[in-house]
Amino acid sequence: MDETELILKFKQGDKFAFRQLVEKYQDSVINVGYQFLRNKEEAEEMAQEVFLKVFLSTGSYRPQAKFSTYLFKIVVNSCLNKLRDKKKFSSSQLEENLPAPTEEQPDKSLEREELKKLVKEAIDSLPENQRTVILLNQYEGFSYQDTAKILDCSVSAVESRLFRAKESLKKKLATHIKKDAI
Amino acid sequence: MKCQKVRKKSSAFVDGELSEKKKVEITHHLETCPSCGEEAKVLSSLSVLLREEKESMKASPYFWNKLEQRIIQAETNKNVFDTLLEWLNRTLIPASATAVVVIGLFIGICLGGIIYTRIAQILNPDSSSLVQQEMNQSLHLSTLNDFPQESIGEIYIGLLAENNLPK
Repeated sequence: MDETELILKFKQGDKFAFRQLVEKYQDSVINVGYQFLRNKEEAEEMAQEVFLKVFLSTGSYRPQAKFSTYLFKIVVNSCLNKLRDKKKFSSSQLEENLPAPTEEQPDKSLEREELKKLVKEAIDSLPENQRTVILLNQYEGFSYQDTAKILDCSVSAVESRLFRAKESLKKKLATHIKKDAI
Repeated sequence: MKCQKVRKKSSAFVDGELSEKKKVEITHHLETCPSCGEEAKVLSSLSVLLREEKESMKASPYFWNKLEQRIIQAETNKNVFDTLLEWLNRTLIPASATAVVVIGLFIGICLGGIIYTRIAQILNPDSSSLVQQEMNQSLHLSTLNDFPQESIGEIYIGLLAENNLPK
């Protein structure tokens, strides 16, 4: 069953269709949530709340709009609200969520972990609006247009934020980028 | 195309978000400008780096089960709320509406009486006795008249007057 059919069935109250939609998007939703909240349990909890909200408000979803943009609009708003409530996002929390390096780990794996940490820190240091567009466009693969719909802004605003975000990331990750430059 | 303009569009170019016409213009510029060409390569490498170093999370195996429980709970709560709302619709609202109508009628009758006596007074200034009668009846002014003759109240008032005692 393709997504359009699933959505129509879901709007008619078909729980099985809803389950298939959940299974399709649950990992992406949790990923975006994790990138914002930096805690897997909180990201899963947020994902549960979002899907519950979607299920209970079938009336407000218009099939003409893409389901993914509708869903991720709720996801982003939910994450930003949670962040604002908690005023989360310190580097100490980032360290807590990272696996502790052990002496047994091979050098390459350690280097990889270090790089992951650096990329994470670089993204986390971006202003909220720039971080959001990076997560949606670069991580989740949303087009500029879909990202603009999710964030309720113009395509040129998305382009501008991405440009500034990438300029910042380039400076912070300069050494690692130059190594891998094509 | 100038380098400054190209650099501003490099990010969108690398992300494949430009129109065909713009893509051709920028490709041509990148082929002829080493500095802009290098910049585009750096941006491309950055995109690759971000994708490769992204931490991917998977939902826990019981994600759907937990969600389903929450849905059932929410639907149960919704039913309780719907029942309460229905009861309110059936009893409280009609009762309130009836009370409003009754109070409205009462106020209307009182106001109507007052307006009637005022109009009667204005139209017939000589028929003060009629107006007086109406006022007495509606406002019970007869209670302010003197005591009836040979009543206990009259005798008492008489005694007070004789002995100059305060009433």
